[in-house]
Amino acid sequence: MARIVGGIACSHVPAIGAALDKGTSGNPYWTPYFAGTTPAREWLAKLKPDVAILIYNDHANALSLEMIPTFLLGTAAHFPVADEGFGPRPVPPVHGHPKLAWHLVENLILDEFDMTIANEMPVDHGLTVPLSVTCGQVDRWPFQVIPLCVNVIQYPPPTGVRCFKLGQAIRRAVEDYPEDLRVVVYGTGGMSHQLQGERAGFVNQEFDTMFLDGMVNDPQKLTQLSHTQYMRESGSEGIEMVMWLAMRGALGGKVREAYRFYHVPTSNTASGLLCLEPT
Amino acid sequence: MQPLPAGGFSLEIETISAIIELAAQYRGTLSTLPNREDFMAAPRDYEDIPGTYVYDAERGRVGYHLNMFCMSLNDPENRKAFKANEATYLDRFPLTPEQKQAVLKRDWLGMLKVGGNIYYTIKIAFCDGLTFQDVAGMMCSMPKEEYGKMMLAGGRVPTPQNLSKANSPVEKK
Repeated sequence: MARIVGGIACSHVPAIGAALDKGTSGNPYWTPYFAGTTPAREWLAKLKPDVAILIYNDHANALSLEMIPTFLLGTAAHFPVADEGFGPRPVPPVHGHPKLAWHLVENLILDEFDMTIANEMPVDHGLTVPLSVTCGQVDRWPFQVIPLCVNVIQYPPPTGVRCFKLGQAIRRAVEDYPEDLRVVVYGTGGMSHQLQGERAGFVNQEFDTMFLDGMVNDPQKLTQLSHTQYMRESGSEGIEMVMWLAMRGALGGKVREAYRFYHVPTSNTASGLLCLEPT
Repeated sequence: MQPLPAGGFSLEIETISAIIELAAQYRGTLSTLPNREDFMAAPRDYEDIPGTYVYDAERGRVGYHLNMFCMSLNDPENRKAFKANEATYLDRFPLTPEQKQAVLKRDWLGMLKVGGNIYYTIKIAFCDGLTFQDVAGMMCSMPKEEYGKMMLAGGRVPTPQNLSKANSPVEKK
């Protein structure tokens, strides 16, 4: 039987990827960030996952406004790295797990979560940056990855409670998969940030601390946050944190906090990293 | 419908603009964001957040073509064509005059007001060799260095004024 062995919440700021790709991760601006994320890499390496279900959002690369799926699941064997306007990131291609992905599609839809199915799609920094942060600079990603893309670009994104329930359904589907696989779930994006308007640069450390604590001890409380509360208190793009709740839903009731790291700024954003283990 | 002439589309730019203008008047919706009342009865509570342009149904309706123009810049050939003659390139898209002007003037805040979505409009900035932080600074009228310093010091911290227009002397509802 497949089982979920860990959950990772991780910001996906493109500048983090650029720092690694351009070799500036050792400069004074970035040193504290990469030093702070090292223990998560060590933790994940020890966990030895076979597959990751990576919940993220695309940023006008694989998808545009032409069609906007709320939830989209990638069933391909390979996902090329997207060219986001300055060439693809120099990271390994992402290998999927089509059998588990199709199992998820089938089970989630029959469990009333109507997934859009992607047989081909490129993946952008929303997916590759959390991989880089938690796996480092590698020639080959150490596990297969199933991309699960959530719309947070066109308002309204799915609610926090809906994402949390999706996570619970992912857990049920994973546990129903006959092969013995160790699965980790990523929830990416956040934390507080605003990229637009006169309020650009908004960061709310108090909100982020509350959210990190809630992720560990009281996710039900977090599912009650309204979209307007996210946008007002964590910045218009802080609403991405609904994707963290999808990961949290997949971990079950009680969790152990294996690692936490919080850092401001990474470009315009407050970055958070949280490693959880189901108990 | 008649086939296009072999030399390509031969309408004058003025004619195309006039058609777009007429279409906008006819539909009565494209030129500017209309009042909320025109489209949706209830005001949205997020409209109370200062300095924030939520890309919602209303902006999605008005801004679609503007953002799809931005999307086209993902293609290197299109970036080249845009840089070679920006106004001509923009004529490929049914933009309103306000949207077109905002792009030509690189009015980043103005683009949001006419339906731009930051994840799309930023593609113009990348095409210009600017970074996200450059554009963020311009949208809040802060010199680049000052904006960078603010971020290093922990970002724009919450205040009663930036949490609600009700508390803001400049942005009363």
